[in-house]
Amino acid sequence: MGFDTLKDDLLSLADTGLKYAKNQGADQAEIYISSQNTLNVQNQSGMIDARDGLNEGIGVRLAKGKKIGFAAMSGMTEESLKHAINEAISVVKTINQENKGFETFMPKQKPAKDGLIDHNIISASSEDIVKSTNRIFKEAKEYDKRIISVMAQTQSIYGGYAVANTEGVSAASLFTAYVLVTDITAMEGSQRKNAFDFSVTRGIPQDQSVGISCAKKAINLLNSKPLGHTGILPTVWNPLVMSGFWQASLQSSINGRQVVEKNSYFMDKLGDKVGIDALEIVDDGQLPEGTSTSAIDEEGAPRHTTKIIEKGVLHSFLYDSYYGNLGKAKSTGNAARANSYESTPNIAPTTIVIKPGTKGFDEIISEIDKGIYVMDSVMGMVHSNLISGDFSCVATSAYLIEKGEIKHSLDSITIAGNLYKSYKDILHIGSDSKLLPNIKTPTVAFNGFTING
Amino acid sequence: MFDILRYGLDIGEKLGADYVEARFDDLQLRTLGIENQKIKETDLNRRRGIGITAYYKGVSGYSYTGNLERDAVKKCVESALGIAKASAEMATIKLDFDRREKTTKVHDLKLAVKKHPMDFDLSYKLDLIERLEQAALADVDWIKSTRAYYGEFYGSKYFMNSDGDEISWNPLVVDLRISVTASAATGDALVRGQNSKGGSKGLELYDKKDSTPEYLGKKAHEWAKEQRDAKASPAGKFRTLCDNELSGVLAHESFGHCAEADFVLTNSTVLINRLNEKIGTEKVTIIDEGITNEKYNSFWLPYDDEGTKTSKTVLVENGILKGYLHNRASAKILGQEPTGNARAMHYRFNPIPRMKNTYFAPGDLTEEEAIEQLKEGIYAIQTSGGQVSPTEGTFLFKAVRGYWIENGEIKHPIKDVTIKGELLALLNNVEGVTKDLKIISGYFGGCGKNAQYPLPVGLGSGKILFSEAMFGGEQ
Repeated sequence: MGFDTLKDDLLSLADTGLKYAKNQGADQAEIYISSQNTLNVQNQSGMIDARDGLNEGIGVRLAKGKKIGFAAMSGMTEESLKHAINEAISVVKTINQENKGFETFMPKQKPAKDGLIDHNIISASSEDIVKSTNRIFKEAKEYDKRIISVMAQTQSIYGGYAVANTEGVSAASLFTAYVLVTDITAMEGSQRKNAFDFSVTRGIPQDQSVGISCAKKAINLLNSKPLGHTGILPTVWNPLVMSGFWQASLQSSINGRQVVEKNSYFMDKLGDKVGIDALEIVDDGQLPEGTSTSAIDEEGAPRHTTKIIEKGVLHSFLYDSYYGNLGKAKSTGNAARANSYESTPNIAPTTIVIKPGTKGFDEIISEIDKGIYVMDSVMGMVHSNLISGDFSCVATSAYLIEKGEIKHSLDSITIAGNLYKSYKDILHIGSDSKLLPNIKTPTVAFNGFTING
Repeated sequence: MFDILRYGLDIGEKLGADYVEARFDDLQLRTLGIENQKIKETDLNRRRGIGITAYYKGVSGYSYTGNLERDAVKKCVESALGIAKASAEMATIKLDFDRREKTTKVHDLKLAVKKHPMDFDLSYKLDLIERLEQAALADVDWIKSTRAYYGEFYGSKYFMNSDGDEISWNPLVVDLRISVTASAATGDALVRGQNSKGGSKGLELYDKKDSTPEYLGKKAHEWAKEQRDAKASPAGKFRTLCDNELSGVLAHESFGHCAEADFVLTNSTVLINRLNEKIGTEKVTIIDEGITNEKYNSFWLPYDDEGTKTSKTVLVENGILKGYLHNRASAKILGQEPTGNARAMHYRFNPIPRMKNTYFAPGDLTEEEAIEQLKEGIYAIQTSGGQVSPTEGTFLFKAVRGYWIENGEIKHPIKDVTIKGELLALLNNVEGVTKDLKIISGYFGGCGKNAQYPLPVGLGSGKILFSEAMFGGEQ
């Protein structure tokens, strides 16, 4: 099955599914079919993990009245399709409880635009991917003698998905993606320091210097010293670690399901000032280079660009059709399936874009008398209390800033604060935006977090 | 199914592969969930496909297909071998291993259970979570939300290799999980109570007195109630007692991953070059095992995904590091025996060193003695998750709840308990372990490594008394 005919193949099988589901007694049906090729080569200190495969499968939601069932099966065949439909029907026929919020599957709308497609990804051979991995690996390994362990990984991904339902939706979307990951350990004396870097792009990137930049980071972290300070200090977060911060602080607070179910911290704050004036956030499902950009979301609604925060004021939440219906709002085209055809739609951002400020990274640092520069990753951010917003994380890659300069790396420090209240404690938003999966953010500096180290 | 796997093996060998492994999975996963008395999830997911590993000059290539036709399998084998050949030059660690002297022919191995979930309909399982939620709710006004989930995982796995091994077995896991969110007695904070019970068992598990939905729900309710009046956990270093579940998670997350042999080979673990050295106090014995005594709620794993029979692997014995978790190649390189730890989540993944059931061996203390010996400090209980860096040996875990202990007695409940530190320091702080070993496993959660998440594993421990552990929190 070729990439050129993929859309037609997906849509034709989906159509067969709709007819079969009706025949089996479903009032309404939704067929989601996905086909994704992945070629992955990883070199971990000379040990190779090389694999590829075609992951195809079908996820079916059926409704009888307001009773809904879901079943999925791997494979893109009529056998898989019928199995999934039969299982979903048997669920619908067994359950007693109606889903009161359910009206229909996504009504038909005109699809938006797909993101960039890079045909070089489709034609990339395993030799190409091996070469790319090898070069990144070597560059990192040879950067410095103190580098004791290097992991370099390249992944090429392409495929598509289709959604068809009994409301008239019948649309498909294609994607290509290229992933580079490095994870490097440097050692001096008995001290080990770890750094990682990655890029996820829709096309094969020009800049593949991720091995060298990551090696440099690991080496610079060596010879860390204890901070010896407990109290509030300004912190500067680079885009990589900031992407985790935005994800943690936005995943529940602007999610329409959490709003409807009253778990969102921002649920009653629409129109309120929640951040500094310079804070502008959109969810951009149409950013051509964004990795989640597509013509339709994963229940068939057109992707959108949605203003989340404008001039520090909360503007709107993200919805799919189901929670949009319950929350008296429209779908914002944010239905996403966590595990492709194996999952029912939920709400997830596409690319969260933070409007860059005017100050460069060096200028931000130069204005801090004493503070912390946090890089790459922190442990514990994903376990933040998303209801209250309280977080406590451990930063293993951090530096001391003194008198406007980055001084030396620090032994692990703990950073604690509140995810949501922090929007008002932003000191600076940098001008150095970086596109990461689902987030495009610059460096951000905060005041008001408690540091312990 | 062995026919199509044999076909794949033959093609691979004909095309010049040094060695071939072929797997077929047909696995069914069901998730049922109710939240706030409304059905949230009734999902069924079937994963069926074939995966081929082709070895060429010490490098393995892996490819999979969900299509069971011969043509698709042929393409899959060609692809696996092609990618192995392309990578061969880059590999400095060669994954060669010795052929087995004896072949294994084991067909259709299964657990003897009374109530296989396959034989029970949806209503029976929905009834379990409805009863579970009702018991947790118990008609009070301070409970803000409830989530009750049921999960089951079963099916069949087939394995063949160039040695002539032929193995098929039928994995099985069931799980019940309840979580309660409640308002604190004062202020607007929310607190939680949670409980779960799962393992490689039939549904008769939930007929047992301490495992009925009513009992599990009632406990979650009581714990949430207690948390309503809990004080924030103090931060800093304290003498510590960790309950069975949290200690089990420490065995798995902070120790087990560090013992995975691929991390050893790639210089990515703090346990490298420490074999036969003392890495903990003599109270520390850590074991990883595929089949445990059936009185535990462990995960049943008779063979790994390279066809190796799982062994009882002693990783740490009285504080001395004795071994690592191996696949066939890593065992050969490091001069040890394969331990049966090569595991793949399903056909879309290649096997990599993963854990089986990892646990701290029981000690001789009772809970009362452990609390008394603790004198003053924190009793940390259950966990809602955590993170680990095997390279640096650092970890952070959130306990669900806990107690402040003074004069060897429980003083008051505490909340927001975060334990963190370094693995090796922690193992050197073990003063004692209680005798009540518990091993748990389940459908929800599971272990994550690379992209393979969630893989069912078991973990366990008695309660562990630490002379010191670090606790975090806002100060």
